Amino acid sequence: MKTFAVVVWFGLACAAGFALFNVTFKVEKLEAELGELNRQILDDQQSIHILKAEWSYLDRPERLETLADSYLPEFKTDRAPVSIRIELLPTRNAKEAYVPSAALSASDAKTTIGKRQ
Amino acid sequence: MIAFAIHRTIRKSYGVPSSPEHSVPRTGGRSAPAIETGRTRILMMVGLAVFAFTSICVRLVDLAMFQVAEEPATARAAYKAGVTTQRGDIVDRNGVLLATNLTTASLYAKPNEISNGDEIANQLATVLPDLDVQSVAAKLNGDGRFMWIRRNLTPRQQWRVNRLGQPGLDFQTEEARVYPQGALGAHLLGYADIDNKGLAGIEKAYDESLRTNRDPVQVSLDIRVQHVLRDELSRAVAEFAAVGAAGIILNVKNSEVIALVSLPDFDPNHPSDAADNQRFNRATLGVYEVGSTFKIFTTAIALDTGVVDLSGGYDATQPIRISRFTIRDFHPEARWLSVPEIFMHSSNIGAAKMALDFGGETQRAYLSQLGLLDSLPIALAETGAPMIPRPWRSINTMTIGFGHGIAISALHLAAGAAATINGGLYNPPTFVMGPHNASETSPAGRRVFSEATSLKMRKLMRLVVEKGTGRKGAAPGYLVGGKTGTAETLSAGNYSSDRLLSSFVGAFPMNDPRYLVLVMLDSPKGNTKTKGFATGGWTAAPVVSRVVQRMAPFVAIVPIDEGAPEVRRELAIEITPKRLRLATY
Repeated sequence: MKTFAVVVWFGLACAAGFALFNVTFKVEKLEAELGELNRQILDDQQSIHILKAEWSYLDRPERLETLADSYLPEFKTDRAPVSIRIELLPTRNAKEAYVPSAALSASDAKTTIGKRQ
Repeated sequence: MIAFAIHRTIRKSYGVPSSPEHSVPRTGGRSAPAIETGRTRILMMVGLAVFAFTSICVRLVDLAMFQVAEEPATARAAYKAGVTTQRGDIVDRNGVLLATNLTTASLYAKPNEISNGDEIANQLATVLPDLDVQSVAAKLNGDGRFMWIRRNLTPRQQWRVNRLGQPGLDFQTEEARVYPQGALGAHLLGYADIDNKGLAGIEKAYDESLRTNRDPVQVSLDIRVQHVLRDELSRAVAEFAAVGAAGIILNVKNSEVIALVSLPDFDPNHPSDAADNQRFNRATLGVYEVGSTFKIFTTAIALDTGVVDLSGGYDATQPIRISRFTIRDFHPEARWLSVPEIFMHSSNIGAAKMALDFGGETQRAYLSQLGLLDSLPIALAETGAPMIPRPWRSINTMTIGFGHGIAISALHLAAGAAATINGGLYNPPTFVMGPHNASETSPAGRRVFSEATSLKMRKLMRLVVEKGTGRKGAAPGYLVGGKTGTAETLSAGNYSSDRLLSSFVGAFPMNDPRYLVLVMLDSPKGNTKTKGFATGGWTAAPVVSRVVQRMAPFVAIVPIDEGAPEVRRELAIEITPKRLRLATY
């Protein structure tokens, strides 16, 4: 009985020791991992910071205009406005009756559409 | 285990055999009391031991489970702090990055650790071609402890210097101020020196805030609109061979500066390369006699004080001769002119008589209310103080009536004009939005003119674009209204007709103005396209027209039908009242 108790206590002590060291090592490993992650995050933040500046540089209106001129020729109209009122868009079905707004006469609508085309 | 060991020791000390068959102590003998005492002692010892171990256990559990706050702080997340720079960012009203700090490497050397200075200098020249090899070699061969070779290298340069493998060279991590948008907005943003100290513009005005506060400073510029204005102004400067130009776009309701351009401009990334002429801010620092655009104020004052009505007018048949001056009209009609006619034909004689009618005192009081007699209450250091006549004689009152004899900055003019058309409320211009905006004026503004006067001014300015001197400022669908201005500038003490300051103050849409566009060209030259004219109506007005058409989609203003009856009715104005014509002729 006593031997059994001794064995049990000894076993428990070993288990406790093992568990303790196991947890300690795990925590150490996790902490190292966290440190590494934190470092990576800071690195990434630094990169994002630089990329933001780069994005702003690439996004200069001047450059976008040059790009638009070469890749979107339909908008290359001497920088003329490219927005019109939605009422002035031609209807899909030509037979559909066109209802001009109070502020617009149908003839105005036609001329504006003509200009756009 | 310890208890077990104690038990063994006690048994031994009392001479008790350790074999199991003798383990039961004999009682009733002579040694019985001694054994009792021994047992009591053992129990006490065990009790003490149990107490000690229990308290240790309790403390352990307590430490392990409940004492979180005393844990070492290694597990704290570092990333929440983000990138810390020596200087905060500047962004535009939509959050586009305009200025930021980037980490760079600066190259330095320790000459006292270098023996082959010439070789190193030659090697460095392959990486940095513009390096002055001789002077660097001389310094490297000296025995100083430290010398900068080049600050703020590009990553590629740093890599190539590293590849040289020279032990005497080293890098210092530094931060460089970078302006990704280049010259766009340079005059407003200003620039910082190599040690990240703000030297001009917002960089200087908000230096403290940029150094200490982590939040970016948000300026009220819209970089897209800024580009449109700069692009169109540059075109005009090239077309009319102008010396310079200034342009401002204001939000009419609260005088927020949406765009501010001064040409020629510079790249704030390399401010030292810029000439003084480029660094000079013509929009806020330069003060000019602005000419006829000033008639906006004269007419508004006359209408507001009631000395004349829209149906009233003045005789502009003869030039006015007063002391050694002659006031004449640039577009002479040589007849009686109604107030709308005076405004649309920009009659100096009419404006001078109007000014004389309400008098110098009133003029001064109104102009002061419009903020035209003092420096603007803005944070920028580049703020021009107006030049006003002292004493304010009646001749001054007359010349100021058509914009001469008083010099104000373009921003003064823009803010004042905004007050005449927005319903009569003056707001000092602002550049910064959000928590950094320390403006103390209420958003409601300061009332200068009545609503009725303001409406009349809107009608008059629309008339100028529809039928008067500013016809080229029209932008179909956007209901532009405005006023032209052409002033001769002083050179060597004389007004010269070769050096004009041509300007146009426009606003749109005139039935409910939202944006004011001011364009000023310094010494434009007429060309065949303008039939040789270099006046505001011929040079500056077309710029405003194009700017309005290009910026409107960005600020979500859709074109309307200018000919629609309700729009026409809103801005209808009678130019020559029949009643008065009969009375005059």
